[in-house]
Amino acid sequence: MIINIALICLAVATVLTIIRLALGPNWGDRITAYDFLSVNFALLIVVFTIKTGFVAFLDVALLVSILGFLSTIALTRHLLNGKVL
Amino acid sequence: MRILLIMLLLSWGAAQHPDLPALSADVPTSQSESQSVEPIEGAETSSEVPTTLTPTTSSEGMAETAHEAREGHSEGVSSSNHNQASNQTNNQANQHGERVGPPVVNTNLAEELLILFGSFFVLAAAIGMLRFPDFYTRLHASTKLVTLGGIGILVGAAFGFNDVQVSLRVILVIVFFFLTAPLSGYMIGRAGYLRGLPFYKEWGSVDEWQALGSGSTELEATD
Repeated sequence: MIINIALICLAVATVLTIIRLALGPNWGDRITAYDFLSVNFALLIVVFTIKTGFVAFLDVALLVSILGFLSTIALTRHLLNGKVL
Repeated sequence: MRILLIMLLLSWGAAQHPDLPALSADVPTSQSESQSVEPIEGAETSSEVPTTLTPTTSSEGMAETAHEAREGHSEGVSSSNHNQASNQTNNQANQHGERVGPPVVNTNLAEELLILFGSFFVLAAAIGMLRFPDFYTRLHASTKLVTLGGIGILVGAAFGFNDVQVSLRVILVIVFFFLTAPLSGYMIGRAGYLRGLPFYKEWGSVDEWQALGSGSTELEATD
């Protein structure tokens, strides 16, 4: 019951963030929405882990958050410096 | 400090769990303890479980878990009611009055409350993400997602599973979130400011970096 309510809240948050990702006026809004979406997806996977009881999804959540962080850093460095590394 | 608090919470949640077989005293205990235990030995062994679980907790946490286990043992001896549904309300209702039931602390309540708290804060951060007028305020709203929403959901997951592997992975994910979320927020804000994204000017907002960094003349001019 509570898990379903949490899944509904996270899904509504994902939809609102995708709306902001679609109509953000700047590139900064889009990068912010993308960073939000990566953390939100990791938390969605954690709640899905609680729902199903399959513990290996926690590694998936950690991997998704690592990929979101690295892509955010790469995007900002590319937009600021012109190169990533 | 936060990590220590989380580990203390986790050790408290783990200390409640081995009391369940030891109180009924005819149900065989779990695999980590001895087979036929008196309730006194069960309370003592259950107080030793958090030492193997979290070896870096302070003596305060040890004393607290030992106190919880001892209190649970005394309550368990005093009565023999095993209704699991009403135990939670009994423990919270009369903390200082008469003890009705054995202290079977249901960890589902903590799990559900923390997950509800965390998902509510995620939804609030998304609404703030959609409704704020500015890039910088949206960044402010999105970086607040991790500290309350993520930690609530992750600690709720640790309470729900009540397992050492899940707790260690949850602590790892929490440490990773607390390391990376301010860094990514800082990088996005730095890139957005240095490339000159516009900010919302209708509330009398002042660019303090430019006012303070470009000398005292502009500061006098703004004052």
